[in-house]
Amino acid sequence: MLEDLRQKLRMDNEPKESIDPRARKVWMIGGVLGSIIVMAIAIGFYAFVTIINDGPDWVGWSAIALGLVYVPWSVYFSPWLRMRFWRYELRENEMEIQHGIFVIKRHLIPMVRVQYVDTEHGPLMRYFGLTTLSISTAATKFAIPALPKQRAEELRGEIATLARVSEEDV
Amino acid sequence: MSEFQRQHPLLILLDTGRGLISNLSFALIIAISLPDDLFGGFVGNAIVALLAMFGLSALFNVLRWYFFLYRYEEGLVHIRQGVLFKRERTIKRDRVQSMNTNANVMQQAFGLVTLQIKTAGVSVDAEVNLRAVSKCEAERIRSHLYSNGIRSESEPMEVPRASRFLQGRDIWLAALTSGRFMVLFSVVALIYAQVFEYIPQSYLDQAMESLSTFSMMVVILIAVGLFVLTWALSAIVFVIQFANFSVRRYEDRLEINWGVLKKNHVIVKLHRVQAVVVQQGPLRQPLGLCTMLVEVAGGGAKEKERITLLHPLVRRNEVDGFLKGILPEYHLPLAAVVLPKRALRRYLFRSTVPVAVLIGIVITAFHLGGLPYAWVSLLLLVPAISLGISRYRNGSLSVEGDQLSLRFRSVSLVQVLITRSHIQSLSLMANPFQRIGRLRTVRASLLSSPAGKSYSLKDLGAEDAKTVRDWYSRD
Repeated sequence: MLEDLRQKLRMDNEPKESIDPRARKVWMIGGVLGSIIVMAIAIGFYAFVTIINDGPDWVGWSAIALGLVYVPWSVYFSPWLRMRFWRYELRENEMEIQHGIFVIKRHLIPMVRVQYVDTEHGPLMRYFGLTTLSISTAATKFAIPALPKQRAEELRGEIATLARVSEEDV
Repeated sequence: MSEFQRQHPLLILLDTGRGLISNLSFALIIAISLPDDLFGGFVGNAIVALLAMFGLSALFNVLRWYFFLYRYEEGLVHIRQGVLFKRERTIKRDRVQSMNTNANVMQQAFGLVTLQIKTAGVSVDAEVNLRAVSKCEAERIRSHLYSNGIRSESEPMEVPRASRFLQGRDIWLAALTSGRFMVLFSVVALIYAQVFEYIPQSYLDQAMESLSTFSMMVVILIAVGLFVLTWALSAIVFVIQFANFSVRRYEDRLEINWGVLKKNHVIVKLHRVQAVVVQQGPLRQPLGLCTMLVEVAGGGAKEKERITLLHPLVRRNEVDGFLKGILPEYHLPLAAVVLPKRALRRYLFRSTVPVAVLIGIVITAFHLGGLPYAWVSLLLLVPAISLGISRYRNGSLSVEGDQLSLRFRSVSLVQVLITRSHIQSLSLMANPFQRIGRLRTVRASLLSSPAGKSYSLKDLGAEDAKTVRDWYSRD
């Protein structure tokens, strides 16, 4: 029964490659930082409503309860789900990307439509030696977060050359 | 081929100067908010604040200048920038839409220019902006990148391949069904509501008194009269605006003319047409009338610049003929894949839940306020449900040759025709419920506004979605 449901929740023929597993760590750290802020706000709200202004108990507590739901979600479940669904695949004429937490999105980007490829990394990503690769078409932009630096540069080069040979009209 | 290089160091000075001027008021605010005796009165504070700001801004601009590198080679420009967040960008020649140079007075004094390389871009920063390069350097980069698009000026007089006009009875039909009176009516109502505040209370009381003596009938009559009046007014405005409408198809372009008081003349190069939209508003659909629009690339951010009216009024059964003459590149699909039965539930859910929430709020509020007739709000469910059913029944998709056609309804019924080469990327999406129900949302992104534009169809069967995906896939 459970296995059946799990099977149904899967997307069929997913792209082949996953992103670097260290991405989860980065997201978790981000989640922890976010949680600290959210909890601080929730506790502040509790203090403000219940202690200072003598408001009803349940209002303050519900804020804290919401915060407590948010913490495991952002620290564990959301990074896990993101990691679970992140897939990409570079083929000769197109790039396929899949990502999402609730809504799983699968994008197909033909090489002929690629305008440019960027790599960038923030301080946290850089600490883990990870890089974000983003691909822009004339209308849309897609990013693959957390690729090992080496791999990202390889991919950028590959996509640039594949996009260069393309000869179709815009 | 060249090595990575920086822009002219004068950029630092230019940027710092500009930054200082634009932040002058900010510095003054800081100066005012500092305690008076800190640096010897307001003037002292102001000088210190300005110096500090100058220092910071200079430092920032030095860093930005230092970390901005560019390099060009045959057909490619590379940019490397960013102090903390590094970013590298490569732009290739085929994608360059235009290259402009401009120079303000300061730049001219030093022989510098701003070189903008524009691509058919996604966002505002989707382009290279070299803000301090010498004139000859700009020329060199340009010669490396520029694809020669020089055209001969003298062209023989052309005869259009096909043309369509909006004449006589049709323009009035279009005017009366345009649906603009709703907008106008709400404007009138809004003005009325604004004015209402300024009517003296005594007058209102009097009016209320006479209202009760008047029959309700008269009030309704006045409202209806106002309604008809705005309708007629908006129709006349429409007629004046779109009088003498014509669309002509030439070999490589469309020319569209309309208007009497303000004459409009629009030329749409054929290669900039990204999609054709056939729209049926709620007033036009029962009469079998459509509006034809085209999505045009390279337009501005405003809707007006990127969506061009192709024809205000075409009969549904004449759409195919119209397309054959004006835009034979597109055709109406012969057959279409409809949504699976299991999608109906989701369509109903989406259209009724917001209304149900609203009804819940109304009923609770009425109940708490002790007001009767709360159940009347339940009647709102009827239009919500019928809208849901109609959306479900009208949702369809087809791929024929290299054309994707999507049909869907929000309020108006819309049919979009896109050729494969104009779809920038194709996305399939599914939330957990859609995945369990084996449904997918299909979204095609177009190059139309700078932010990109997309059309989507919700809750298509997974197998049909896969057909579309395979049709779009080049591997």
